Amino acid sequence: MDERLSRALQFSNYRQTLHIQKQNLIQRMRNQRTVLFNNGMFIADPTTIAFVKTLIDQGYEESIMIDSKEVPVKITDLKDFLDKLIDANFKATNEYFVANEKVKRSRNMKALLEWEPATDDDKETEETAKA
Amino acid sequence: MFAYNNNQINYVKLAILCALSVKKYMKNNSVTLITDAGTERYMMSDMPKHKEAFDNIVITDVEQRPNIRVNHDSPYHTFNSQFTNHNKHQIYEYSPYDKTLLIDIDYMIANNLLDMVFETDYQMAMYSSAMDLRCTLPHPNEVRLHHGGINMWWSTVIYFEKTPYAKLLFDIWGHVRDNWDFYKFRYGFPGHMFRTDYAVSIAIHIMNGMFENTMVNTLPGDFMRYQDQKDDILHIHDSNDIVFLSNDKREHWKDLPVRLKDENIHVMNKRSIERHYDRWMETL
Repeated sequence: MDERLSRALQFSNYRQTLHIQKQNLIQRMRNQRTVLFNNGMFIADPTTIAFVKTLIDQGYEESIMIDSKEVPVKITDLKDFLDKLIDANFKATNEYFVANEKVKRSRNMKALLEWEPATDDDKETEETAKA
Repeated sequence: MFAYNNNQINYVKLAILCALSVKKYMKNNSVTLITDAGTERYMMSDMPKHKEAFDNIVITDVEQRPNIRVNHDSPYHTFNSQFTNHNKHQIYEYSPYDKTLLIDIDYMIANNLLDMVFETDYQMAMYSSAMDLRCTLPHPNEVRLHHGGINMWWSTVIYFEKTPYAKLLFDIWGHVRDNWDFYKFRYGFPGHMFRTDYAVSIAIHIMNGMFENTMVNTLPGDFMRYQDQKDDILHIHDSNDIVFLSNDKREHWKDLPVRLKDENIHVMNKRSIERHYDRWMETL
């Protein structure tokens, strides 16, 4: 095979793995941003946070909100709800940021997966070290 | 969880792994195993870990109806086995709990996301969509029962509260099972195997007045993640950190490694679990 094509295909595999790992990170972030409050399931995204903050700024203490499963939920303490949303958002986005930085710096599959399968050479080295 | 051993798959062995993953990651973690007397005898004598895994054991000697499933282990190996799933809808009677999360023994828990559903006032919740290791949609017949047909709901994980509404849904599921050939024709799906995913999807459709669902809620998370039967496991770093090998659906000789952290996953290739069983158990 033409070496240029071979290298391009290798790079293509790396890009696919990179894409999947990024999707995994996004999914993890979305799961971590899920907040349970007054029996409703909410996503602590910027829109929800901004809306709840607006309600508080307008002087409301409670309100009806539509949760992520389209269920109307009565929020009895908007301030407490906002704290929980912000906490979840901070935790999720911080972890996403750290993981994404790692992914960005990873230039090959082994680095992307942060794992290198053990080879026969490794086993030999281990056995020599034991001996 | 249900586990009926057969001559090909040691379901109860997988159930122990699954139950221990529930105990490790979830707060609502009282686990009941539903099995038959033969499987229970084998478990009691050969699998001491069952004491840690299960809080209750329900013995149900089910009638053995032939239901042959073709299992894959990689794209290159297949084997047939009896699939005992005819009584899954009877979970309503078997379950000792007011709020139950029924999970298949190959659905491995790696976070506490599903705890949330116990805090809701949902009467019933399931997954209506799934993604494979590459974050792509499954085969069209696992999205809809027929290309112009109804949506498929996954029976892999079912949350329900003991209410008349849930009872009615499980009863309709039983009715669909009893009239499988008719519903297969009516809903236009192929194959001979009795699939509980299809049975529950039809039950939901009937109960909802033949419209798209507005009754059953979806479980926390956007979708159910699964490993296809043709995929494999490469390495278990931890019980919530696993490297899988995702097989290319179009070019079977190609695989991609995928590392999943803190994500619940439906591991469909059961032989791949068995190959890594000892290491997996060490991490739980």
